[in-house]
Amino acid sequence: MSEGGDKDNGKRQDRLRLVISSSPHVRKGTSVERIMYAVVLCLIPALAASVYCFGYKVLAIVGVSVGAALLTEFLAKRLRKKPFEMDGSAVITGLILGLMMPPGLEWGQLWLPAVGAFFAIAIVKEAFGGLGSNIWNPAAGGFLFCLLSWAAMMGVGWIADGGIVWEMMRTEATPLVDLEKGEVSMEVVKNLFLGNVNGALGETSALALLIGGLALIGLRYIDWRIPLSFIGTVGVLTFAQTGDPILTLAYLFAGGLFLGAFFMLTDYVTSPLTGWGRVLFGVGAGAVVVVIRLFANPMEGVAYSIIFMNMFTPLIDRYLKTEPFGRIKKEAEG
Amino acid sequence: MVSFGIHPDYRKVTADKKVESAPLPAEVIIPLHQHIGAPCKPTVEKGSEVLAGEKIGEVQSFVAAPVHASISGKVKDIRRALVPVGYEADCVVIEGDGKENWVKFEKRDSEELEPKEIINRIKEGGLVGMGGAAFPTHVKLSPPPEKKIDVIIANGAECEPYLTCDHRLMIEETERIIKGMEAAMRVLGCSRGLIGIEDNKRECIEKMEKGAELSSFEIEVRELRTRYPQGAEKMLIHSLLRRKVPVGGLPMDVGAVVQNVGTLKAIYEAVNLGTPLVDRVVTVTGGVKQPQNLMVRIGTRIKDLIDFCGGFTQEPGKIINGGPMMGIAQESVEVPVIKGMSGILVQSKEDVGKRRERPCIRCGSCIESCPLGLMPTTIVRYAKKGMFEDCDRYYIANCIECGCCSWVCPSNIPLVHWLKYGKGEVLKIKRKKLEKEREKEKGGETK
Repeated sequence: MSEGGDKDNGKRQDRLRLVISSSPHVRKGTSVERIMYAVVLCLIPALAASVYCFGYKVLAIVGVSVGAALLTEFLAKRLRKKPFEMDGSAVITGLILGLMMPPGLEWGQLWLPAVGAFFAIAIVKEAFGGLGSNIWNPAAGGFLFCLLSWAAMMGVGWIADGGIVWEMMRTEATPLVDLEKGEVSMEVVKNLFLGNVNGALGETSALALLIGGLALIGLRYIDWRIPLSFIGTVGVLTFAQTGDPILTLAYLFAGGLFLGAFFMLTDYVTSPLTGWGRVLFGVGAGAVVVVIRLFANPMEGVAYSIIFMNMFTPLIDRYLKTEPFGRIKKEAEG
Repeated sequence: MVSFGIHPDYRKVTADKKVESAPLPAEVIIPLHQHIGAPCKPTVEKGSEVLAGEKIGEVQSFVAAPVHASISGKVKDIRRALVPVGYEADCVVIEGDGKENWVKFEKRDSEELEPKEIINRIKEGGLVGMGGAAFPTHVKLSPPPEKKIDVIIANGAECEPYLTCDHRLMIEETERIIKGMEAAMRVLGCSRGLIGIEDNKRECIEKMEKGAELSSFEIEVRELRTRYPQGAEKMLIHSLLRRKVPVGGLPMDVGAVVQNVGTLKAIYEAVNLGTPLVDRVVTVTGGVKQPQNLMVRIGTRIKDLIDFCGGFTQEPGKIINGGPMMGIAQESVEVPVIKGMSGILVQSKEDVGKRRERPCIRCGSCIESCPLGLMPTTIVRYAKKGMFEDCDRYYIANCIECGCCSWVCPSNIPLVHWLKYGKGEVLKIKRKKLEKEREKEKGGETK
């Protein structure tokens, strides 16, 4: 079904080799690669902030993750006898997964992001049919696999051995655990926003994530509805529960909420197709985050909310459709 | 759902080029089926002498339009030939005598004519919609009596990239378009006329405004936002009147009739001058040396026109009947110009390129771009699997094949191709169901 129906059977006098295909005969000129690499570019601020905070070891961790993701994709495609393509989707998965790793990983523990990336690509993505067919967000899946299998490694050792931050913040827990204790000042909020806190690599600076996310929205590569409804829901529910605006802000800027909002929930493949579907999806994920943060381990809230809502995507698509132009109301009721 | 529209590269390079007459063709191939509806029956035989303007094909049903000889000469053959809409049809081949021997036309003033007479002259003139769909004009102007038409819309949007034939007509034939519109308004008994023109065609808007002022009818020119597909009937009606044509319905269901400006000009000519539709303006553009707007006799081979425009600039990759968004790719340059052909677009091998289809990444841009609020990716997924009832459930019949979804798709999925296919299959299933029901009813009666 491609544009290759050349006709040159000699019967016709003109010997032109003309292509026959269905309209339209022009394209916008966008491509899967362009979108994927735009997402990669928009993750650079977060990566840079992470390097600034935690030192150059970040690059090693992220590098291992991206490399393992690409290698796994290559092998999986070979195994499935499908062509391997540098479409950028594996790079994104590796990059996001790398950014979800703890900065305190020892050099000898670099196999952790590699295993995570392997699981994300081989099991979560390729086993379901590859790009376009996976049910769950690969990066979120890989992260939870690591967290559940090597909780100790993922949870402790948050202090990096480089960068400017670790001297200041010698806490042994992620800021969300601090928040649990209810000790929050505006200073903490500011630090959370700018990134002067401990946490997973890419989650440190809400500002850097926001810059990348807004760029993606501005370029119209992601739908604003998902981050807005997601962050909005978390904000409203947290405020309703705590009644404290500063604490609410602290919750919003902490724990990878922005990473999830702009770069993971918005993954096309695993999110709904229509505008209202996306709103519902974001609201649902936001509610799950708050529930998990309140009643369970706060660290994994965002990743679980993504995996949880991914499962509802087909259902949401089934019931929240677009409104066809000129649909007759009677028909709609009946 | 009111916002719609994409912005393809417009490339209207011929917008300022006056319509020129193409040389009289030595031979014409006139298809007997140039409209939506049943084909015509030839009224001439091999060897017959014909005058230009003489009827050579007669209708066999109401939804059809007769065809006329576009040059004088001798009928060389009546045979099957490829026509530019992708199939073969019976054609009358006329060898020209190089003279302009016309039949005598009866001039009348449309203001003295009864609506019935006007309709008859339009029908006899073989008029069809000249925007591309080629629906017989007299049928469009004969709505059932229960459908009250209160407004007629002249479609001067010309939202297809490259094409400028309507653009030129609005500038050069303003008066005829307005007069044709008046005749159509008299037929339909409606008092209001609107002319919709995209706001990138300043000169047309000014000319048409002047023309509308001189009319004794209530005709108003309205600027439309430049966006594709602004000229699609349903979109045009919504933009001008805020009325939505219902799913599966026609413009007349919301009291409107839309006519392309070229058709209106042809209405004037058929009604007032008595001349049938034997020529039209065709924009020959893209990869030809001198792109231009040509007044062409119906039946001229497109090869002759390309040659007249200086030939190809480089080896062509695609030759399209119409514009790049909705036009039909041709397999040969031997096909004739037909009543519904608004342009010939030549694309180079580079323009065509190779577009490999990738898996859908569910980005949803096709859904966002669809002016009719459909979910192309979902429908196409069903169509690919042969689940046509699901296609129907997702309103595939509402698709106007405008091409926005394919245009935006980052995965190069030929969505329109599958939508066309799905629509056809859904129609087949519906027809079969109807037949079965009819048979059941008949069976019930005999029992």
